[in-house]
Amino acid sequence: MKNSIKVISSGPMTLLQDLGRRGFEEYGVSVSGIADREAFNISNRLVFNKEDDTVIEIFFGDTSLNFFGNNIVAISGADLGAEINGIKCPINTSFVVPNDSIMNFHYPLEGIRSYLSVAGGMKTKKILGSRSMHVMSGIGNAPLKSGDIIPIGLSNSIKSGFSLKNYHRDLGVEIKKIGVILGQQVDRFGEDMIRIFFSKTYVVSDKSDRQGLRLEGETILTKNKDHDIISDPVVYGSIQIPGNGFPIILMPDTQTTGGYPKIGNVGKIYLDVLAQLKPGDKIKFFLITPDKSREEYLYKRSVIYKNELIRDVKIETCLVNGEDTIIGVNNNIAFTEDHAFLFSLLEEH
Amino acid sequence: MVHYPRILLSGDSAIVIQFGDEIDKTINSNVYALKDFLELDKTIKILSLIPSYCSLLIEYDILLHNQKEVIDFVQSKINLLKNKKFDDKKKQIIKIPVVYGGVFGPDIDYVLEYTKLSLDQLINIHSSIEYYVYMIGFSPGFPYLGGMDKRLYCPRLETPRINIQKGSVGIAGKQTGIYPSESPGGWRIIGRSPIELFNINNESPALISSRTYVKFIPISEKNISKF
Repeated sequence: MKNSIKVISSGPMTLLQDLGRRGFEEYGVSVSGIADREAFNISNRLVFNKEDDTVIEIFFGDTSLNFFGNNIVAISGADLGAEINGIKCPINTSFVVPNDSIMNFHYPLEGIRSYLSVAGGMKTKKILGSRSMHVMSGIGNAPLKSGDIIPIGLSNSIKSGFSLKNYHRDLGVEIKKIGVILGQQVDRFGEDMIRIFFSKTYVVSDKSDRQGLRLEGETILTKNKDHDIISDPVVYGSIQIPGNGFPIILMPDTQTTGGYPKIGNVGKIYLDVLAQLKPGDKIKFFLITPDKSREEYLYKRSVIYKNELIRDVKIETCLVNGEDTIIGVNNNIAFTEDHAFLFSLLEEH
Repeated sequence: MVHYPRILLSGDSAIVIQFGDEIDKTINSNVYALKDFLELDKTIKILSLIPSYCSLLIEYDILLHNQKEVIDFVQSKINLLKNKKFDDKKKQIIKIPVVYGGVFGPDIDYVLEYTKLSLDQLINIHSSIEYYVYMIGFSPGFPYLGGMDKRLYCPRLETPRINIQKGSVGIAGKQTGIYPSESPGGWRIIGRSPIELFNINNESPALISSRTYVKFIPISEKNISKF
């Protein structure tokens, strides 16, 4: 039998996502795709998937998945308290999920979007070249619901227990600094307004979704108070300023065009930061040049793709557990020669 | 004084070429001329091309190209355009059947009162024009049409509807349009078309594409099943 995942229950926005749908923008079809590229890339790399293999993006939690076949998986991005049989799943380390295990994602402990990749990738039907779900138009694979079965492709992974050397991601609650490149309609805003934009703290509103991150804080108005423009193109990260003066940062499900003036765009690496913000979180913008922003992105890519994959075995030990010889442990992971399993020391007593 | 075309930035991996700042067929045809040029040229790895009324957005692969390289390349292509004139020789008209009023046009009474027109007058005016499609946006297959008769200008709803039925034909400000799928929206709905405007199973998923014309054909309710 081929490997698969059966959805037992699913939160509000548990979605299959890949790099998105390109080539149909001219027909008003949004690119959509993953929100947090860093977590997406890492989860796929740790299980030796291709860069664009489809993953499950779990928003907020409340999701239970039943795995069939022995699968190698990796979770990256938010910590949504994922566990199997009460044993917490590691983040940013690949491990084996044995046949017929149930993985539960509970609620956000840090960040808000978790990325689950399975060696071999999710192999549902592609729609217009992508499996990504665009929520508003309904194009893509519908949000996961109880009873859905997701086929898993053939894996390139023969080992697990890998993590990325020298990698740490901070999803803490401090004010996040977001780099912004001045944009299409920046000339509609006076210097005073641009100064406010770059000096005040903004708070993420609870009206935010995959289409737009709505901000509350000091209002920004155009020089002539007119906030209607002839609709022009927008992308993930465009910051539009509607008539009420509260910035909206467009997220991956953004429409292709918009009729509000755009003061700027978020630099690529800061999109991953935005993807993990929840209502009430605070951000502050700073000015960045396109070249500097690109440099930061290239550096981040090199960390994700060039840093060595290591098996971080902390305590050397030798236990025989059935047929497997355990060569070491690290917190709740047990390492064998080739694999890593969830492991509870408590179970032995 | 702003000179067109001009190059604007849309982040670290996209630029926008703006050819003017008004809804005008010549400006719009330059947008598409540049798009056609770029689709044929593989010098730069382009991820997305998004055309609109006056502007073209070019998103490129940031791993391969820096912004200056892309700007220089696009500038060289723009120079080749040399103010392309609007060419209407191969005019393509898409006919869209519409049932006006009744349950299909919940805002028709408001529009008739606001415009001081009779139902027949409104239908005659609205269906007599060939509307130019400047762009598709807002939602998959949603055409932005130009050329509505002044007599039909009408303000949008103060509070947008949560749910507009698929195929609904509406008026807002100086614009008219048709909703290819169920969606929220603030336009005054005057009728509905039974025709499917967007289908992901078709090779070209949108029935109406930019640079064509749309003409609405009034039909009666009992003829809906023929489509």
